[in-house]
Amino acid sequence: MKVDLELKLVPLRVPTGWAIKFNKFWEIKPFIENGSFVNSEDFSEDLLSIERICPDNSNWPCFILDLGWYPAEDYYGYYKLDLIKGSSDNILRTFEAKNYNDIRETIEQWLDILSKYYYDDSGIHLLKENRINLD
Amino acid sequence: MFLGSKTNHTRASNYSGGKHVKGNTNKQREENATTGRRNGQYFVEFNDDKIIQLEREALEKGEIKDREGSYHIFYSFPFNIGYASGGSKTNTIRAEWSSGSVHSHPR
Repeated sequence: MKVDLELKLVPLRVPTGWAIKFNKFWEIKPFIENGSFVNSEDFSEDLLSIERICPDNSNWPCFILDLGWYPAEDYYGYYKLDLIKGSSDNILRTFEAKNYNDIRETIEQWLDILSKYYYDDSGIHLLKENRINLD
Repeated sequence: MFLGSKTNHTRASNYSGGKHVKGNTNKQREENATTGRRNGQYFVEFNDDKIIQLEREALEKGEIKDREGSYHIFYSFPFNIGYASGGSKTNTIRAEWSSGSVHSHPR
């Protein structure tokens, strides 16, 4: 069976205010040929990093969506998507899947939620229910 | 081909909350490469600036693989640079160059 190993990035809906810092999230599946994981290099621990753009004087939290394949370059691994606040020590949420479409849907869902809400020490709040005081 | 002259280096402490420089001691870094996410970790002796030096040397001397307009670069130094995913000490760097930016981790 011939498998198409052409690399195309997974299409993503990214709202305003987010920066793609790194993107190797390919629309591909792990492929074994003659017992060898031939596209293993494309399933590494660093596949995608999306960061909220945070001005220095902003009180908005710097969220990061980080995606990797774990164990790295292992055919039996899986995608792991982390929602990070600031430092990699502070992982708020994790989603795991073998299929890139499940990851894509979750990324878009998280970005949508995070773009409509704001976060502070007391939790997550919907912006329109807590109008920002511009004075 | 030399990719280094017009490269923007993503500082390791700024990539995804510092996932490859997680921990203040080498013991903590080794533990972070061994358990949990098991992300490759640089030794603490390599700060952001020194990691950029490693990346520049890798870009200049390493094996470059073309991946649809971006590049994977692999290079082994004559000394260890950190812990590979899984926790073993490694002298190999994996750098990825795309759109003029490079990011790396021990492999």
